[in-house]
Amino acid sequence: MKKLIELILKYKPPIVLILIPIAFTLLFGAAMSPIFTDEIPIAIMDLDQSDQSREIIEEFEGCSIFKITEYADSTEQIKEDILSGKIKGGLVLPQGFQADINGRKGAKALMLMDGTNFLVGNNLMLYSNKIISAKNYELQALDLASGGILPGTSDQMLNTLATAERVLYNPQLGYLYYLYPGLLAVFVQQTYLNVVAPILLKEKDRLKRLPLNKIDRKIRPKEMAPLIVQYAMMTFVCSLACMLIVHWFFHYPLEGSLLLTLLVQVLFLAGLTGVAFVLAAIFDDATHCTQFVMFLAIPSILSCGYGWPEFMMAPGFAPVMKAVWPLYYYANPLKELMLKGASFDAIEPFVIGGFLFALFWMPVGMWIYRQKIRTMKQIEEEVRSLAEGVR
Amino acid sequence: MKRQFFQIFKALYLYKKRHPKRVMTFLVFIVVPLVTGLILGYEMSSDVATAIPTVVVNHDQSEFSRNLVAYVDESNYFNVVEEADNDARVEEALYNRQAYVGLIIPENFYSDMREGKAPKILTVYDGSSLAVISSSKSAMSEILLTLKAGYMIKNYEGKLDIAPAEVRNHAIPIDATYRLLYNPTRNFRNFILPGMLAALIQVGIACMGAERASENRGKGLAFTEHLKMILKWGSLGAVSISLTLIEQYLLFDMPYKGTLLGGIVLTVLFSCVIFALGYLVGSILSDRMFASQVAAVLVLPASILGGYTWPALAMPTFFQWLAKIIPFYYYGNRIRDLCLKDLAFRHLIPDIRIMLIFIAVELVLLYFIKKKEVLA
Repeated sequence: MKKLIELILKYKPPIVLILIPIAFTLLFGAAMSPIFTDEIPIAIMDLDQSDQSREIIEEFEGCSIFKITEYADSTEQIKEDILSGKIKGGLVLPQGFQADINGRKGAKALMLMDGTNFLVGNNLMLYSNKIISAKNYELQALDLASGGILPGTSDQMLNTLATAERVLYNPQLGYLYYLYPGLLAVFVQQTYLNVVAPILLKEKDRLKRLPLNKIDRKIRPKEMAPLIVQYAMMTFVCSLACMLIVHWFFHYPLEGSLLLTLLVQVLFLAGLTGVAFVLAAIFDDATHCTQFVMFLAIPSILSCGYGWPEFMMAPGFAPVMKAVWPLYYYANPLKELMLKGASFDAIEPFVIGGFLFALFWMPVGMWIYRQKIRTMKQIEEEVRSLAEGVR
Repeated sequence: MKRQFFQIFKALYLYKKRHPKRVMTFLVFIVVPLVTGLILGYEMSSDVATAIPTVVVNHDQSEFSRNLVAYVDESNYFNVVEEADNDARVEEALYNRQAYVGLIIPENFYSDMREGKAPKILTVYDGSSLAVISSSKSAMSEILLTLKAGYMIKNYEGKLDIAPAEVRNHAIPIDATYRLLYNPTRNFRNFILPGMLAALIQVGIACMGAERASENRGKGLAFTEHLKMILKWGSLGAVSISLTLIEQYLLFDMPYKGTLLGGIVLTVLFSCVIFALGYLVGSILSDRMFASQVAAVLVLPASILGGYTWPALAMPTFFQWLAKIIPFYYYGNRIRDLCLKDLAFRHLIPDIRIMLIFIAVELVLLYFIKKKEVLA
């Protein structure tokens, strides 16, 4: 065990950069690969016990989206079981349901749904609505026939204002399809920062020990840059591997150009390197820096316009977000590339934005990093001379 | 000015150097969660997708179809940004993110409708954005269904000899009511933030656990000292989670409808479970940074594998079982429930019981690890 840990520590950067994203891709891909949320537990409350009510219940039983787990006696019981999480919805068919249908009195039905997770709630609503609409269609056709209207005419009448629907890019509304590019972007961000920030902190430690006048000249770009480029290349190879894994194993479409994917990733990593300089300037302890980096995954993905698109953001939020964090310029075009096969024109704003971000933050990050080291050095020299004076 | 700035910086730097633990605790438990809550709460101020950019192609140009377009545009959900003259433009607008929804009304739509030819309206959605499509699909079907019901009623009046008062019952034989309980408006912020903020803080709690364990390695502390540590830091983590929820409640109108006592008990237990997990990792791994990373990596995927957004019941069986050994599975969904549902303490008893089992298992493991450490 000890030897294994030593081995992991020795090869930590490649392990973090390559194995973690691949492991998470496999894990999340397998967990989210079912396209539909089915077998949702629901309750049925049939107070009518008639042929018509049983017919509707049979439709619910036959639909794979629903799993009837209980037959309730009251709406209170259904609500209580939704509250406790035992069921996610309940169908209530009141007494006199059949009589109201036969008497054309507008029979009532009630579908209660737990809306706390709307991925579940939406499915319940969509499929219960489909069943009831189909039943309504059947009853309307019978009604029209009894009024002397010919079947062809009644069909046309009932289909008027019907809608056809097309969902582009993610026709089955698969959750993995929607989420994966964002997840991959976060894997890249987290692993890269986790590896690069400690390198910069190590260099900071070394520079701190040099005399003040040598600090600027003694930063080792020749040693640091190849290492950072090497890690950036590993990140790219790994993200390609992840894309292929999600494509082969989970049938994720890979529509876009490889060159454009490389372009947005290079710009992202350049911008992220600028951010890493700032983080390395702020923190003096590599462990604390790593802990802070771990914190960034959730807020950055929730605020980068991936889940909550830019046009829905509160006033003034988007420009600030785009100016301080580069994930917007990577997660969004990555989705456009993977799902839509976007052309350069379609992702051009992201490319320009990512380029400007890197162009600004690389030098500014380095400047902050140098200034911090110089200031630290000045403070420590002041403190030391004060202590020597006291002595 | 420059000197003053230097003095402030110096004071901060020296304080951070002297009290790194205090500064990090303040950062992890107070600053990061509250700032994140503020950022995300403000970002999602509109709660649901509104004014969704929509492109319309109206080949019909009858008064009826123009009214339909106006009706869509006037609804809160849609904002008709363009009236195009060809169908391909809809796909192009969706491809370029200029619109998220397209509505295509065919030629002779109204006259065909009057002649009973059943023309079809085509709605096109961009499926790549979940928050938008979940609002747009239901809002568009609601608009079209309302329109259809009105048209059907008129049709029935004309074709069947039925009294106006009864027409509706003929046109809609089963009048179903769909009640989306607890989050009827599909408020995205209330759906995502309670658990996601807790998921964020749990990363900090786990890292703190790993770091405290690293500090205490080889000190030969009595087991009760470790227990006190877990309780103290677990409670701090619970304070952090509570503060973010209070912030959402006060500043962004996030509801909290459930039992307060139950919420506190569950939050403290959850936080202790996560801290103890980090503490276990830090007790096993000697490298402080590596321990922090491992602890964070263990809890980070919980927000997905714990079924908070993509429900566990939709996952393959193996992952349903896996979710059951993830503490966040019990906490994330419950904290959202506590915000949105009027849960009583009794509803939380099964989750509290599970948290106690988690803690018991962790303590047994910790006991053996520490015993081995002392023997070594």
